[in-house]
Amino acid sequence: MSRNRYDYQAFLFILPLLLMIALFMLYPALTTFYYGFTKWNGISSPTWQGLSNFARLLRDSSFHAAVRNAVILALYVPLWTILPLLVAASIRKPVVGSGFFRSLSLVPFVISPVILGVLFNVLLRTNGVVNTLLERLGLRFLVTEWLVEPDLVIHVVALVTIFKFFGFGVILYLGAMGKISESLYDAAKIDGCSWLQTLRAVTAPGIRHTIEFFVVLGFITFFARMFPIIYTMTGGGPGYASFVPEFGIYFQAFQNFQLGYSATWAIFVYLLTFLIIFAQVMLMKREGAQ
Amino acid sequence: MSRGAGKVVVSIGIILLGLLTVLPFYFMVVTSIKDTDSYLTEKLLPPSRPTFNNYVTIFAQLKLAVYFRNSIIVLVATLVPYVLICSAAGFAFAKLNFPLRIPLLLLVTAIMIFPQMVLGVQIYHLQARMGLLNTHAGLVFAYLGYFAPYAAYLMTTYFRGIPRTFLEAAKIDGAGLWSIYIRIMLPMARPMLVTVIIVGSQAVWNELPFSLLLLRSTDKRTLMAAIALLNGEYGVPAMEMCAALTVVALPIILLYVVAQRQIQRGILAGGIKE
Amino acid sequence: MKQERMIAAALTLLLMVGTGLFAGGGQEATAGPVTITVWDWFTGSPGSQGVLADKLDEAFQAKYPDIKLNHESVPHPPYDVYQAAIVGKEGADSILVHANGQNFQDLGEAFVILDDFIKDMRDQFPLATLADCSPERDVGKGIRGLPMTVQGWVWYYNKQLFKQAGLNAENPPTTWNGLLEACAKLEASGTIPVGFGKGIHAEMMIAGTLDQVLSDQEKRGLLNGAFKFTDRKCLVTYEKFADLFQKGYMDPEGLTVPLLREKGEEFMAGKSAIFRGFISDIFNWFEFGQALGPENLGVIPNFYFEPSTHRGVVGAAGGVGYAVPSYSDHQDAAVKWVKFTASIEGANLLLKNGGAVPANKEADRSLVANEVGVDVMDLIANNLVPPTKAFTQTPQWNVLRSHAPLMLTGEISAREYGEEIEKARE
Repeated sequence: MSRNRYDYQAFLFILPLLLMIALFMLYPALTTFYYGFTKWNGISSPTWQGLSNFARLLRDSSFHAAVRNAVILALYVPLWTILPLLVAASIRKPVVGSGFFRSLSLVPFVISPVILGVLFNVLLRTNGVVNTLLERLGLRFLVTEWLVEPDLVIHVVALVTIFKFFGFGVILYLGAMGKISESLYDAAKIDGCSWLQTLRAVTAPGIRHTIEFFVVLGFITFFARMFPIIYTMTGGGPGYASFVPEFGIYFQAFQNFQLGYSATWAIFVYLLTFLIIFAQVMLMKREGAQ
Repeated sequence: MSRGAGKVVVSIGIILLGLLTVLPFYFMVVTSIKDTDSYLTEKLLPPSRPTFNNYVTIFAQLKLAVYFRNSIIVLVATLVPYVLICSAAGFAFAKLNFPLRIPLLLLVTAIMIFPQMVLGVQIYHLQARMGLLNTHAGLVFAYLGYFAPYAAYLMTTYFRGIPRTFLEAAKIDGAGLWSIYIRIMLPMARPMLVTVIIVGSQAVWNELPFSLLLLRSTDKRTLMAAIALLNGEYGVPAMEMCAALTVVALPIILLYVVAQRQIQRGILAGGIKE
Repeated sequence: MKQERMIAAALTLLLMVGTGLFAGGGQEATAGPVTITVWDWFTGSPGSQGVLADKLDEAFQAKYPDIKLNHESVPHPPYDVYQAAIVGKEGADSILVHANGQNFQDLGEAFVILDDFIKDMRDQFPLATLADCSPERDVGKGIRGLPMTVQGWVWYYNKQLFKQAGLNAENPPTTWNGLLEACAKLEASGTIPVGFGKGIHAEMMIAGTLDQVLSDQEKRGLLNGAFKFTDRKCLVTYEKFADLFQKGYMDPEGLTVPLLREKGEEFMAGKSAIFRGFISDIFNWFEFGQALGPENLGVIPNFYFEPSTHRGVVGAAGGVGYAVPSYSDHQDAAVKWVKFTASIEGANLLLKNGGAVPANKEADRSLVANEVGVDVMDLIANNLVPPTKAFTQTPQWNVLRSHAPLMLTGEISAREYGEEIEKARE
């Protein structure tokens, strides 16, 4: 194919995709940036508010809670990343039960977060399955109101999310590990490396990019994909204990009918998202330079 | 010897871990076959007298069949254009040269990260003005906009792996781009197409934010939104809820049992960057 | 090649359009008799509400055979659905709206003014209930809906469980201290004193008690901030409930197990003794009477404590009423539906089947299903005050509800609770 000749027909091939994206992704994204500066109840015309929506955001205790929770969730990224890594490294060389595990561990991943959220909502009730199990195991001191203790709720949500993607991470890492040359492991063995040392010296560096990908996925999930599980498991509560920025958008729009303010929240979430993209681009550039 | 013992420990550990990941679902199923009394007395173990009443109730009273039907309609209506749009775009990005190719590809990849809820509210209003709100068509369009980029990205990656020689040979034979695409590229892309279909099906079936916002009345509602709402204001007794969850989870579990390898491939295709 | 290109473009377009039509799903207009679409959360719901909806449909169709009813259910609360319909100018011809909150006031301007159509039946309704269906609670601004029911919250109690605890079932406590004493005895006799569920229950108890505690003027002051949720009278009320919960007299499971329908059904199964229920629609004298037997069901309006303004009153207002959005193409037929549901005929159906208390003063009282219903209707006739909810802004109401569990368990103080509600002021 000649480098200089353009296939303008290609535009026909990408037109439907671009159309969908332009209309239902880009346009709504752009209008958000307009409405975020207005006061609008969805029925009458929006009124311009200037920056006062943002001032309101900064004063809003639900926003404080959302930011606090976003930080807490971000702090779970290391656990999100490392837990599957440890497991994957353990079964890099298949053992009896590897296949069994690989099959079962993806089940939480393929199941909808709605089902997971509702299920855990039922299991974590006051006298529900989890508390009953803890009592039977003699762990009475652990019995608590998992979904009502305000300091606990967001952590429960984070753990359930990690539970959901755990198998995904293991499969991902295992796939990448398969590309590492066995000779490196032989060399490590000769050097007398322990399992942990091997992990740090051979495995982790060998799948570095995949780990990075999973880390980024963790941030994306915790910053931008929490709605279904929070909506079904806790509804943002009690109070604002499990509020996250994403949820605030929904809450302001559909519970308080404050659509302009809801867009203000949305702008904040966009900023978070851009941060992630920016960080990723920086990372790629650094890789490129190397 | 310690190596052997170590292996046994790992085996036991990994099997237990596997069981742990499905433990919640065990409780889901067990609870679904209990009646009120057996649920109140025993939360963990299966009931001595299992009942399927809850399953009857959820279909009779909760109209689960309607939501099922709607989810299927939306799924099928989405998948057809979804596959065509993504494979066409993937082919173009991978194999054709046109102005703005790289920026457009970057745009498509960047969109994959957009959070659903930020878009949700605005799409809701856009569609309200367009008259698409509370229609299945409107939801399909939203899904196409949201899920197609990732699939297009997968298809692009896949098509890149197909040697250029195929394309050039066909062009020498005088074939038009469209026929090259239909007769050569699509068949070659079948493995990835299957993956894309499975990934897409999973995404659409399991989706909540858009279906919650864009479909409003009961007769239009899809499964996940219905389940989420069921647990909201008008809660449902735990046993019935678990029955509903079991029924709703079943299709995806079946898909998983059948297409496990494809799903794993989808994970690897999207994620491995080495 | 050019030909193929054309075909490709056409196909793609066709596919999208075809998919759109197939997946379709807007409302199609039917030729012939008029079809109107009605949205509410009654139809198809379990319990007496669903039965009532069916009976209303039946009777309406019998009376107006030339109007076909398309009765669809919407989730509760339905206001985002309604809003979407109003914005998109497309949706049901008649929708059910709460008259005891701010909903007719938030959305009212989008509804048809009914004054001219209801001249023949206007006097059948207490003026207050008509005001509840008007913007700014002022009938001068145009009545936008007809109140079908009267709604409020009362305490029901299980007389059998009272007797078992050694309490006088016919003379229940009417003061808060009396309540505490009764709870102690009930707990000792092995039953849950006060049933409690997740969701709206906390606000029913707290705000419903404020109905008795606050004066009319104070309630009105809530709307514009002249009176605040941090006022001493409010704080005392919150503290009473926090105390009740922390003493263990309220079902602790209520923090996570929903009121509807689990905890309500537990009361009906005799698992708790005292239960905050509704006047109309569900979990009311009708349903509880059916489950426990009317001779076994008692009613207490509110428990008195200092510094309440009133004593032995119940807060109630227009409950729900149908309205006609102005985008409707079938306004005449829709208005007929609205009038029917609130008419004497509709009201009688309510009394007989749904156990709702109709707003229509001329409903036939003799039809009331059990004597507890009579007690409730007497309360409304003689001991009625406007509800606090009617004067609470929607964002504030959401906080009152979402933060109640935190206040009850003591995670936040009563003052913090009140402050959080105030912060949500528009």
